[in-house]
Amino acid sequence: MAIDVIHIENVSVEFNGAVILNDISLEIYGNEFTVVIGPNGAGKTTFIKSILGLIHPSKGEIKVFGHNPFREGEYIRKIVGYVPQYIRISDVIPMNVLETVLMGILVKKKPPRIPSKTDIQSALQALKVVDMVEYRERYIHELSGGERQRVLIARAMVRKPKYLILDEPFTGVDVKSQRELIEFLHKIHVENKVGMLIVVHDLAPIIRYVDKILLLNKRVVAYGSPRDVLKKETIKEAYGAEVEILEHDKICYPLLGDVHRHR
Amino acid sequence: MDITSIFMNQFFLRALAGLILTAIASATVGTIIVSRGMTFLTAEVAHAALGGAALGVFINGLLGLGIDPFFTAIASGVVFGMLAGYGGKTGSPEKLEAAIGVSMAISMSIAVLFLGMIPSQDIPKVWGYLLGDILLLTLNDIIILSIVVVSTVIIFLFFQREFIYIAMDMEGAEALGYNVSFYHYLSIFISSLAIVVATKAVGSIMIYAVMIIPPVISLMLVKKFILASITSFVIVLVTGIVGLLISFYVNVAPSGVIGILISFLYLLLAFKRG
Repeated sequence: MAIDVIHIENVSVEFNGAVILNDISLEIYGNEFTVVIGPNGAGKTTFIKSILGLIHPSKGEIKVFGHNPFREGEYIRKIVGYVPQYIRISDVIPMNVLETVLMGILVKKKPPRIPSKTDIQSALQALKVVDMVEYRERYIHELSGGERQRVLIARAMVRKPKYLILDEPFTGVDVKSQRELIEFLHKIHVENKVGMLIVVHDLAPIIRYVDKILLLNKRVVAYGSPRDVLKKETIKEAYGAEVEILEHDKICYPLLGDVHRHR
Repeated sequence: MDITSIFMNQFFLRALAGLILTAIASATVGTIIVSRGMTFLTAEVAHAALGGAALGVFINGLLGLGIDPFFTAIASGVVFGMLAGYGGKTGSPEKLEAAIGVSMAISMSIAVLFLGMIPSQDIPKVWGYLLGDILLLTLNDIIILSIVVVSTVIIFLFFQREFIYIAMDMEGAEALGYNVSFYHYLSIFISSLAIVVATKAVGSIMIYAVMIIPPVISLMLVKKFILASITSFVIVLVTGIVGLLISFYVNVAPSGVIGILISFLYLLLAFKRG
């Protein structure tokens, strides 16, 4: 059986004359666990938004599992789930966990989008995957960063996507919750056979599960297995600084102390 | 004046009808405005309506047309509201607030420009669009306000989920496949329309107070969006009736009294919560 592929060819993105992504070409396999790293302003979020069809490249072509994300946006949104950073979620709106997850499934319905029993069952099933069923009546603003991120993963998973894209899911999340999140994502990847594309700024906690790393700095600095990408010279090329790389138990750990701005 | 005769008074009855309609606007449009973080939109649209009214009077004087300045006021309020919405279409509250500020500066400049170009005897007529009085509501005002408020309620109930979703997470909603641009502009459109019509009816001072403060209080008190709407309605209705009764006994402007009562309620809650 052919493996689904995200095919990116000569993609450039410009905003107001500034180049955000420059001539990106690569293929990401839909069954792999891929992470995107790079310094501030490297274009990581623009990259994932282009794949989702939320940003139109100035030139080049993107095909997600053989489909154009702009012309076939509705189909892409069915097969690709997206998890934004929880810090972008408003604290003012009183919305509970179940309703937040239902948001992922009610998009299929026409307004006023009244959830059916089946919709509620699907939402609860998705919450079960991230162990948040007991929190279903709690309000989003009452939850910790890690718990909110789990709810957003459930919202993305409720339509049973083939592929999941996450934008810095571990930012602002404490170490314990970060570990739990990583285990949930690994479980979803293995048990549900869902491919992953995750933007991170700290590789160390997740690296043991990673198949491929994309090192981005407006262009593809390196793309391949962790051992191929995590080299002093490639890291220096992307970040502009010397970075130590430690090897333990056949896994490379770059000592990146990169701090990202929140917008 | 005894309480029975107040409740039989034509001015009071029209004011009560205006109050109920304004309370509904606060419960629907006000809750959307506050949850989207665009509280300044109320002031911006009201002042854009002032410019529109001035433009209407100016055109009538210049071309001898019989256009009702109320319609140019509505058009101006909605257009400048939508312009602000365009500037804040990404959903970022900071960008939206900045766009509202810019839009208000432009609309106020236009208002000042046209106010200087119309005959001095027409100027109070134009300011009347900003300084409406709930006790001077006409039957025509109530009919127009009813049509706009009923339409707003229908749209609010039909698209309530979408308005909540884009207020909570516009980027996520877009990625899920919701037509966020449509719901963004629809929410700005109904908000602008309701603000202009309600401002003409009850005055800008009261509109600022009832559109913003009750939803803020409600969102502090209750956890469900629909309950916040109901709470806003009750706050406006109760403070409004008390304010109207006080204005009848003490002979003061009801808008001011209602504004002070609602603000006092907010301050009380804010101090209690520390």
